[in-house]
Amino acid sequence: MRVPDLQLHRPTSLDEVFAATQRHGEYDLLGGGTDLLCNYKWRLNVRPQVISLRHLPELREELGGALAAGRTLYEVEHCSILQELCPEVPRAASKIATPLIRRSATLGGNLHLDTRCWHFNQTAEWRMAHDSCLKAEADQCRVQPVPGDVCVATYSGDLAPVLMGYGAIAVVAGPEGERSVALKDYFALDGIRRFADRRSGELMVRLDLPQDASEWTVRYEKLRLRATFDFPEGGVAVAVRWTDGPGSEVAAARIATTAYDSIPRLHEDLAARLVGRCIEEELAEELGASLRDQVRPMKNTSMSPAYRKKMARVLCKRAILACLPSS
Amino acid sequence: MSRYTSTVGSRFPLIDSMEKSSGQGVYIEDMRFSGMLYARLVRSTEAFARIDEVDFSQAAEIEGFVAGLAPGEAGTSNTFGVLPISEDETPLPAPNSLYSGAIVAAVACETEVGAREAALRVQVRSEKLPATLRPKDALRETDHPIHSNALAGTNLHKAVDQEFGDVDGAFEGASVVTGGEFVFDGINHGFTEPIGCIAVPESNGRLSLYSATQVPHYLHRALAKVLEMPIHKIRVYKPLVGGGFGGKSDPFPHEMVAALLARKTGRPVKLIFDRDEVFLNNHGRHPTEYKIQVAADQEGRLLGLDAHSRIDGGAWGSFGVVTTYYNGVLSQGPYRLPSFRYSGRRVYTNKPASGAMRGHGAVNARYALETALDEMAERLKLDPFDLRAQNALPPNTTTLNHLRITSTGFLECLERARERSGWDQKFRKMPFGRGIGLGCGFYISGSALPIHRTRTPQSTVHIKIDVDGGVTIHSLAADIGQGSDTMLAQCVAEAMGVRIDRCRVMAKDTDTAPIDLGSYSSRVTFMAGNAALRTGEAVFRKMQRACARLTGRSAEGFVKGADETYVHLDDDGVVIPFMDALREALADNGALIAKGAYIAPKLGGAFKGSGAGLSPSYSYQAFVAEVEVDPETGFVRVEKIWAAHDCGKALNRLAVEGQLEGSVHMGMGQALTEQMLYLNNGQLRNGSFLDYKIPSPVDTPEIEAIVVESNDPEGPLGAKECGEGALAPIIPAIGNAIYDAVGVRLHEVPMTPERILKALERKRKIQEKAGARP
Repeated sequence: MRVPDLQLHRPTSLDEVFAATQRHGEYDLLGGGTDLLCNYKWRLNVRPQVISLRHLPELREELGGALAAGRTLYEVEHCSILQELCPEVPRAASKIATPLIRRSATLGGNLHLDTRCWHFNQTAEWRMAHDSCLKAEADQCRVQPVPGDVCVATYSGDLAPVLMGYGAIAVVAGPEGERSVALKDYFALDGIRRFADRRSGELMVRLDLPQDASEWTVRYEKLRLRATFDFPEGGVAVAVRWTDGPGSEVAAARIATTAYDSIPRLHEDLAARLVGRCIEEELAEELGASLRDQVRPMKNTSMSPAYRKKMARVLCKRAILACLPSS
Repeated sequence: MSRYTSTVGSRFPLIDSMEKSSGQGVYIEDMRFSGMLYARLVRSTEAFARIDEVDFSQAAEIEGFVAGLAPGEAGTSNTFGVLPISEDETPLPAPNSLYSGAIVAAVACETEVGAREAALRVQVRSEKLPATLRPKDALRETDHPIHSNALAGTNLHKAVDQEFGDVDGAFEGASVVTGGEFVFDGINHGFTEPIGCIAVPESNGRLSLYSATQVPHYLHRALAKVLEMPIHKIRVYKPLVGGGFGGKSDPFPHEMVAALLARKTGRPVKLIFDRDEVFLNNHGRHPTEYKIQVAADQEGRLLGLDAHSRIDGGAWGSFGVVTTYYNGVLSQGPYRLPSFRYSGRRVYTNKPASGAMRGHGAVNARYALETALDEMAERLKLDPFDLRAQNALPPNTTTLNHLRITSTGFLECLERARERSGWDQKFRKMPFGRGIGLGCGFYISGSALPIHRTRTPQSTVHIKIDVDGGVTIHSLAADIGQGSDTMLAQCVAEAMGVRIDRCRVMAKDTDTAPIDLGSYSSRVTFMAGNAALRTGEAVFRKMQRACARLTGRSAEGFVKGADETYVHLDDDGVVIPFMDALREALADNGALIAKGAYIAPKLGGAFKGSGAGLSPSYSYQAFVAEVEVDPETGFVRVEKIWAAHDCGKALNRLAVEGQLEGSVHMGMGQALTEQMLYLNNGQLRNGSFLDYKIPSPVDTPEIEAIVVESNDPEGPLGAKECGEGALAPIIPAIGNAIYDAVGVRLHEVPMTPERILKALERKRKIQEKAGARP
């Protein structure tokens, strides 16, 4: 299996990136390559121009800080600043893929992971036999074959729900300068388009955390068949800020999911039901059941939608209870 | 007198381990030939179709395109197959393509990238035919049978019916009957090295095929048939092989295609599969439906076994006739059965072929039997170990279907697994969610019946020793990572009384090696080991005679001494170094040569199918698994495995332990996570290592390998097999441990979290219903 012929650009500054993106209409940005190049080997939406982000200081810790988009997942996992500031981020990073992949894969890459579907993530020959799908060469979704419908491929990044729990803000750079957008508003519910308000030539350079990030307790529960390697089949992050110390009444809360939609999603209505209450088994169970009723997993990953839905309850309950200091 | 210190039972690395771990080892992907072309296969987009036309015109526009190979060209419709009784494969469709992903045509180009591009451009015109995808549909009459040799106008490939003893009487008189219906998904071998080969036309009209194969000899035969060439005009060469597990034990269409392309172009042709193609080639374990009933009296004495299997053979015959028998006959051990009935049906379907995989034919049936025995022990309030022990086959006996039982360490396996696992302190005593289970097993040490009717020995080994003192061992036993080269070297070194590093093994080339049938049916240690031992002994006798000439002492009085010497029994001061003896042996003769061979003894009864399951000896297992089950998710964490295996004699303890650990890991995959999944159109949907879930190292528990040695009287230095039998018992051990943990018996394998959770929910509903009754 070989990566098809392509032109690789290796800019060393953001300006060079913007120049390249403006020069080439069709391009892909390359972080660690552990997602993109695998897709390329299967001839999935190959673009002739690929712009490497590896040599940009703005995406490294020197300029981008602890949550610079170009940091490898290994660096995120072992970063003492993050372990202090937002410990669930390195913990979630440690659950991604395998140690070898984490040496190459990046924080930005995990956030921008292409959506996945068993009708899409297949070889070119396989797709030829299957008439492919909306996200590749055809005009119809194989999961929900409704004409004109959006792609329902599944988002499988692990870090997005956790960072949403901390209230992370994405900093995006473009030819017009930098802008910030709350991570929860960064994505659009479409397995192909994936991002809201993505402007030409832009790229995420880092994430910022709000001042109060360290006051939040965040826990992430991940569903996967094997204890390593696998993408999440479901993932729930629960974040709480206590009124009066760990285990007291909840002052503010966030609940975010991954692998249940084409994007990571914040469930604000559910989180609101935690506010003003102390976490107890019954409450966790109740919110888990509500999340189970909310999520609509598609039949396009390894585990069945029915099972993944059931597990939303368990993941949510466990993540809520894991926030308690006694856990 | 300082005698030779045997290496038997010690722990030492395989002789090729440095070559492999340093990256110096040569696999098929590493090989290059001058002027070599790269081939790429065009695969079917339909589950079943008649191929009418293949058009290479667009492919030919690719720079570097050299040739295409299409159905109808010379040799492409010649049949072959590993079993002479079902040679139903052809290199290319003739004219029907039998499954989605089957090979339809091929291209050869100057570059690999070009070949990939060209293959995508080949146009295939075909007529879609009604596909048969479900085994139960394959038993119906059809106007479109997948093969013309299918039985009774259906897609039935093989039917086996056997009955011994009074089965109906046994069940009528039984105090307890257990069993049920079981379903097993198909699985793939998951070897590391993808399949590949290089065909090289030689200047003298010969053709060489370099291939990652387990069976160079069968490949040699198949090539001769397909190419219609005298077999001596063909050479098969096996480089290092990165795992096989049965998945490289057939001659395959791609090997024929590469050879035909090489002949057509007159240039070497290299063909390496991508991983998804390995899954499409498959020949993995048959998807199986299995129905079993086991009868016993009140004391737990087994009275009878009644079993029925329906196995999904996919598109080709492969080893399927053998598999159909093995699903029944290998359930005749390790327990004494007074009556036995079995019916097996193998069907063709429009899916990738099933074939041999580690533990061939015995694994799914074993799960069903061991689960039924666990249930029986519970019904009779007997400990599962006690039930098995009281029914154990004794040594030196014969089963109902005439399997000859010689050595058995089964009772010792049971005793040691029970003791080491702390069974008596744990079974039915641990908290809800934690469980322990037992699974046992029994497997052949090589099939006594050769595939082809021939009087040629099943294994022959040659040795050559010249003035350098190096011992060159020629064999065609295929080392596929299991360590057979090391075993051959050890057997020869033991027989001759020399160090193992003096031996070099050339087990790779049909031009220089005598016939060995290859690496399948767990036969190599027993058969090639015996041949190697006999060859080494023949050399030793020559050395004894040389020592006698040097000293004037009696030849038979010389025995193996320390540090590569020969010492006379009558006078331990008479010590002849190996090199001195060798020089004397070489004088006037030139290089020493010797050969030894092994033919299995004539075994078995006179009934139809009596050859299936016959082996010169059998291995035995008793495995215990301890698991933690999460009742809320259905997830199973295997905490520890105790694996007691009777291997006759551990020639190399490190290698035996490695085989046991590998078997456990592979069996765990089938038990919990691995399954080949298809879309409704017959397309495989999880043909990658991301989507086909082989357990990771993180999922693998601590494994305590317990080596039991029954010293087989006919095994080489007492050894029996240890590479395959050890896979089967781990699956029921885990299943029975799950039952101990949470009280549900899984009748579907793999036992995925989803299936376990469903079983738990069913149980809960039944309990609630029962509780709700007044």
